[in-house]
Amino acid sequence: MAYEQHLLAGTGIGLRQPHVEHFMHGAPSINWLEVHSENYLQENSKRRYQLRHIRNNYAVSCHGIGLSLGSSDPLNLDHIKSLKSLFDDIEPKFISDHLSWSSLDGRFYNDLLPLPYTNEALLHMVNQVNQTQDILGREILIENPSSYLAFKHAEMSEPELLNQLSLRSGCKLLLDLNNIFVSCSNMNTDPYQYLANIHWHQVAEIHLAGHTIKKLPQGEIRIDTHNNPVCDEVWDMVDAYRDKLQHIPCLIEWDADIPTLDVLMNEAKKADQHLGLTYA
Amino acid sequence: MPKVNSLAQLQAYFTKQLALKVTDSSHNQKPTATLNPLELLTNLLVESHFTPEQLINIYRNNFVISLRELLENLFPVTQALVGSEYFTHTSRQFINDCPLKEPHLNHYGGYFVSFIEGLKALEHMPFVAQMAQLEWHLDRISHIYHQPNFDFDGLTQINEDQHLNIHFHLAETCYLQTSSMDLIALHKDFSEPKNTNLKGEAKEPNYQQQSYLLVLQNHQGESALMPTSQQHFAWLTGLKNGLTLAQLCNIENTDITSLMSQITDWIALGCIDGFSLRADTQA
Repeated sequence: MAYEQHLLAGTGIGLRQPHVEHFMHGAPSINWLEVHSENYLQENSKRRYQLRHIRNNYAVSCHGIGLSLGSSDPLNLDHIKSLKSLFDDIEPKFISDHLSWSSLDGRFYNDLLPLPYTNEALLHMVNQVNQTQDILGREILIENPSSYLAFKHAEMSEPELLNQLSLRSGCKLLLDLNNIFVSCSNMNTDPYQYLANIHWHQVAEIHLAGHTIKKLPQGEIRIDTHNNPVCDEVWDMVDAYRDKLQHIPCLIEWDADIPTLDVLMNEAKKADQHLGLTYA
Repeated sequence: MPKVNSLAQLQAYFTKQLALKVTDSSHNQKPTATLNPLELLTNLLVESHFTPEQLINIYRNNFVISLRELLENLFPVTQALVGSEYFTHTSRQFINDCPLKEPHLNHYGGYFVSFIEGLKALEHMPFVAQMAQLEWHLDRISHIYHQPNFDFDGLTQINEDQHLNIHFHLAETCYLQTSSMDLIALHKDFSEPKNTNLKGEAKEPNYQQQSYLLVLQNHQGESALMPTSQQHFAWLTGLKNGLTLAQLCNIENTDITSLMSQITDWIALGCIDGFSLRADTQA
């Protein structure tokens, strides 16, 4: 089947290095795959060759953490150029990054740092996303990050900012339900209210993942670690929003303490069941 | 309402606070009265039952731990040579002194090798930096996509009187290294459980031997370590430096027959992946 005919629909999984050989020598039954863009930037790398091979059998999306769109630094044009080269080569169905920043004064922090949800941050993100989409010649998806703190001078909620960002820049939204649950738990806000405030027609992809509960002397805080199965509370959110979610491609993310492929595929099947796409 | 002038200012406060305590020694750093990032940030954060320092620490841990894990994964034998405690200390110092300057991790390990080479504390143990260099190249070579496709037909079409003007190209998947220590034995012994004899006693290894080695990608696409002789090392270094066969013949004790036989072996191993003809270089 030609790559153009592969559809990004139903539940997919993040392609991680321990599982690559399964996809090189076979075609495990999974709907689609997502890769971390920054791991595939080198043109003559084995990983790029493997991805070219694997995309013959699967729809692929590219998810990044390096654009640092919320940073007050200028956009890193060299990085965008490398990404463009990767996207021109692989032709991913979706490309995405985050509502966050990870660099300042040319120093990178390899994490998704929090933005204040102000009008200034919104305008800055709109400008950065517009420029990025213009250079790439493609629409991008922006994902909500996990938050551990919030700023007093915020002028809007995260869903409001995401809605406005999508409306003004034409980008789509990648909604991570685990991140919503983690952020809302940490900020003591209601994840269902968050979901109710989202403009669903702008959502193009869903992420589901696990997280860790860290015990501190004053209480528990949830950390977005992607090293566990999806928790029950997040499955409850999926169930509650099934009607909206079942039409949106969904991804199981598992980035640390990576399990066997079977475990990941079962988690994807579980997602399809919760979404009403298959039956147990 | 706290005072914050801009997104840029908030990000400057945030990163200043993130950068503190990356190294153990910076515990003693005292922020100046005019720029205390934690105080400035504290005024900007919504109150929580966690302290601002605890919350910032989550972000700091995320990036410091991710970089430290990268280094631990890239340099397991180097870590075994210096011990976990010293390696952790050095990694933290490196992350602080040589911040990540790219939005990906593809080159960061290479900068760590240069950092170790410059450490005064390791001046008397140059083999530690040499091991780090070796591990870095083992990793780099394992990631390169390389399909040996030597043009034998093209080689046979070269006139015999031009043979000495051939320059054979060293593949990018081939890396040469020499050391006053037996790096291959060190690598083996420190990446595997110690050898024991029949009585269960540890053997006393002798690592104080000059070694010449090459790292190459084997036919399974994995990087592999291979010992070589001083003369073969000199020939391979000559190839790397662009020498023709005629110029290689000027290297001491070179016998053209054994050189050609060795080149055939290196082509089979994938160390040599091409050739070009140079202007007349014959003596």
